[in-house]
Amino acid sequence: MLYKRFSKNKKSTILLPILIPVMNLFLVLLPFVLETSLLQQLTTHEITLPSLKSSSSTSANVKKDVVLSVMKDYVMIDYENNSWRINLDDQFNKKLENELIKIRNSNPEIKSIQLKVDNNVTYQFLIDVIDICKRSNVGFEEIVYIDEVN
Amino acid sequence: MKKLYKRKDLNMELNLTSLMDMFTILLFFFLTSYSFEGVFMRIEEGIDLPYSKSRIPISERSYIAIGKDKITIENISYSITGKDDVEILKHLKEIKSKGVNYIVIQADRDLQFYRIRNYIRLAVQAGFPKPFLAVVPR
Repeated sequence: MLYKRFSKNKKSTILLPILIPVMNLFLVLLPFVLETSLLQQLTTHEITLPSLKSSSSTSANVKKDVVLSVMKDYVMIDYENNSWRINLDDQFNKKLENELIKIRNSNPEIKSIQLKVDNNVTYQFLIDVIDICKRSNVGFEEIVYIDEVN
Repeated sequence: MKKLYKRKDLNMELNLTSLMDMFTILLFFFLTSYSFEGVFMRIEEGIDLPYSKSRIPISERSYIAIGKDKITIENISYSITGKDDVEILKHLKEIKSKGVNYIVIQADRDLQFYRIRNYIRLAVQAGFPKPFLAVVPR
């Protein structure tokens, strides 16, 4: 009788030593799984809208503004009464970055860039352009969004 | 003499209870040392946010989600056709009146900008001068 009872208990606990390390493993993995799958880190891009102060700037300042017109297939840069376009191709990012660096080197005081965005531009393309403007080596910290009144 | 120094059988089993204890302590340590910058924000269903290299964390909880077929603000869905724009503006003004200073715009990466432009205008009209564009870090 006694033998039977003890032998039964042994059988019921046979899985326990295997379960404990598995449980441990999942316990350790749990926070990492939660962090990577459920919580996705989000960041933001801040866009500024033109203020009354900036709109009342002198004509000399207006000439020094860098205006980027973002179109579906190209970006037009307007700076110091000159305008030139960069077509969307494989080298687009590099070309735009180089042009912006040139402008920045010619006038390090300029910290903001104005963006005009065409209706047909995809949102991802706009974010890519903002990314290039804000790159540390380019250094346009403020993105001013110019809305066109229809 | 030999019998005296006879090696005893080594017990190589791990003590599972202490192992579990150790991992529990480590778990709490990881949880307490885990730092999170910014706020928790829900990404609306059906919205694939654009990828970006921006590292500025989200600092405001209120958002307007612009999807391919609907606009969502605080779990209320509106039409994207423009017929609900008055209601959207009213809702944004309500959020502003609660003391919220900034609003985050969640928009699908494949949307054309004209769909987003309208809601940036509404956000500005409601009193949010600097809209934040939510992105997923690359």
